[in-house]
Amino acid sequence: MLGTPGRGLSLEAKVTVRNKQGLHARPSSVLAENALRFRDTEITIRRGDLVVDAKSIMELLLLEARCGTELTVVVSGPQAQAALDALKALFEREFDVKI
Amino acid sequence: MRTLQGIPVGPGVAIGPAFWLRPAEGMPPQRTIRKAEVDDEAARFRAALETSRDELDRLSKASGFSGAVGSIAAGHREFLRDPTLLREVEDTIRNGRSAADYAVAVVFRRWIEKFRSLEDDFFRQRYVDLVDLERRVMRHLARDDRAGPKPSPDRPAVLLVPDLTPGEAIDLDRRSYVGFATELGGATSHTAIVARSLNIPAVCGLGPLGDSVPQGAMVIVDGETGRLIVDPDSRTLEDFRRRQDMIRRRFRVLKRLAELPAETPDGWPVAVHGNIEFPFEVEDAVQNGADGIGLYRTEFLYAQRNALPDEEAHLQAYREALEHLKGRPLTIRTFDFGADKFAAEMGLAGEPNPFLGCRSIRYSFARPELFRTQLRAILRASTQGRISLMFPMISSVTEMRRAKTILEQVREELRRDRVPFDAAMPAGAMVEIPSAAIACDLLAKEVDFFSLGTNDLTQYTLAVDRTNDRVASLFRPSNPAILRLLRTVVREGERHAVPVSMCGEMAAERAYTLLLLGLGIRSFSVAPSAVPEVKRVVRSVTRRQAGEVVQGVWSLAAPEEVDAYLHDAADRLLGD
Repeated sequence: MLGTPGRGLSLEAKVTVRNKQGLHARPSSVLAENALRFRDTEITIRRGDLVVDAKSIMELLLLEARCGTELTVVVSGPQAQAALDALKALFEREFDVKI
Repeated sequence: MRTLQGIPVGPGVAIGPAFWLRPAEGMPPQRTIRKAEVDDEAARFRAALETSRDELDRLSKASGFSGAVGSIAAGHREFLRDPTLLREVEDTIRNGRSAADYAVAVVFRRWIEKFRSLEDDFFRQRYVDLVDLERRVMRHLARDDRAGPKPSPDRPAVLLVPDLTPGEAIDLDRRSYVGFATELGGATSHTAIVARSLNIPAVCGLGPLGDSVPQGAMVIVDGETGRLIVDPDSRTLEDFRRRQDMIRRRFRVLKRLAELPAETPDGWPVAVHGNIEFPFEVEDAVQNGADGIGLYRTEFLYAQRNALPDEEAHLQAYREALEHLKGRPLTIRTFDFGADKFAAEMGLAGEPNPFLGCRSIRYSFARPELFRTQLRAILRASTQGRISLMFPMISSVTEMRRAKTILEQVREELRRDRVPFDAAMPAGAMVEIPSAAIACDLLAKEVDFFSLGTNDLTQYTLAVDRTNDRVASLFRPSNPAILRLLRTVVREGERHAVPVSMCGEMAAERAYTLLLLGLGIRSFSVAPSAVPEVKRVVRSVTRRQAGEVVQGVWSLAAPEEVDAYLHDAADRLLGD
């Protein structure tokens, strides 16, 4: 990955929606809430040609990501690595929405 | 004085001044603002947003964060924190030099359109939330209150509204509104369901009212016949006041019965349960003296959010019901989608004969993922109370076996995941298709209990649609053929030690309660409001008296004769 001087790294990782309900309102709100913690870091999520802001519940819902959907998380900014790790973990933990 | 006809959805009579809550439907006019006003408009928007969030916060706290109100309010509050939404509105104000209300309308409508064009129904339905939120924010943006003083507990009013969204329903202060009427909504529409859940006198589907009901006009909502009377003359007003008194008196008398057990004078105990659509109705049922819930119509979980529930939403609803029940039993019926319930929403529109189509358990088999999610949640909830599971529209042993096989697979899955459940949870079948009733001796070997659903059983046996005015008079549960089917089911149930209960509306009419008692049915489930009346009948007749009434019924050939005979018997044994 190329780093942008002064802006931190730009990183990306593939994730899969694992929770049964898919990325609906509650998981989206958990995801957005976590993304918002990285204030100066730009976090987007890509599905095919569609790219949305991970800090916006409404945009996340537009992904129509059901269980099993593959997405790409793209982060850039000073806390890129931390943000990427946090979000990847969140997908793995199925957004902490208990089943 | 004018009388408008709608659909009755809430019980009782309400009298009061009309209060129109007419959300701004059209676009607000585009108003360009000066550069100096930009900051003020942005601040006005942020203040409206803040007020909206506070309001939702209060609502969700007041609900204890649970139930329909809690989950709608909490979800909506999250949406209002969306940075994209905030940025787009502020951009429109600053760069587009637009007034705040116009900017809110533009941005929300753009997003509503985006959601409405999504392919996946589950995500598409979220547009409903945005419609709700736009109205809420707009309400707080309004500069002047042309609507006049808001109703309060000292000055209660009758609410008039084009339709009632879930968001508006949760806002409704029941002490400030004595009843309400809507322009839209059929009997099973979302509006009607929300209306019913509020349990106040209400009429839906009046059609466009235009200016025919001015703000503040005296109106009567007759929740029993579905009429809205505008500017009643003094005699009508007096009539309705008297009816209101009578309803209140009757209610108080029946309420006293709630605390007494349902037992015949000769000591035969009977269970009287309530039918519910929403978990919060359990409280109503229990207060009316229900011994439990005999029918929880879970398809209304869809109505609460306009979306299919996920496992958590199922579980939350079942837990909420169990909590209110405090150890009393709960019979959960799996989804009964199709026919008159959410057919279009489930992608079943255009079936040539929906009542004979892919409805109920058939739909659950066609959408196994929905069915399994529901079964999983029911099993998970089963450790926290006394749950029975009921499958609707069973027509043969094949369907019952298939449902049980899937249930077993889900149990296996839970065992593998080490999730606890009650392995002894009973599973029964609704008997509402003639084939199930006729061959119930065979079905009895596959079930833990039978529950008679008389509405469908009558409709399918007599081939009558009771909502069709031309043939509705043929819809008689007292038809000798129906009585013989009921007798068969009760007998076979006894022979195979399978308990038989009755959850149809038939059970709530006193002449029929008498008949059913005499047939040997010892478990009834009726609308929560009908529980006291059923108890009254049970407490008034001995088992022998009821048995004698039934003896006389078998020689009667015409349904009219049966009805006349039963009503006579009821009058004789039960008085007024």
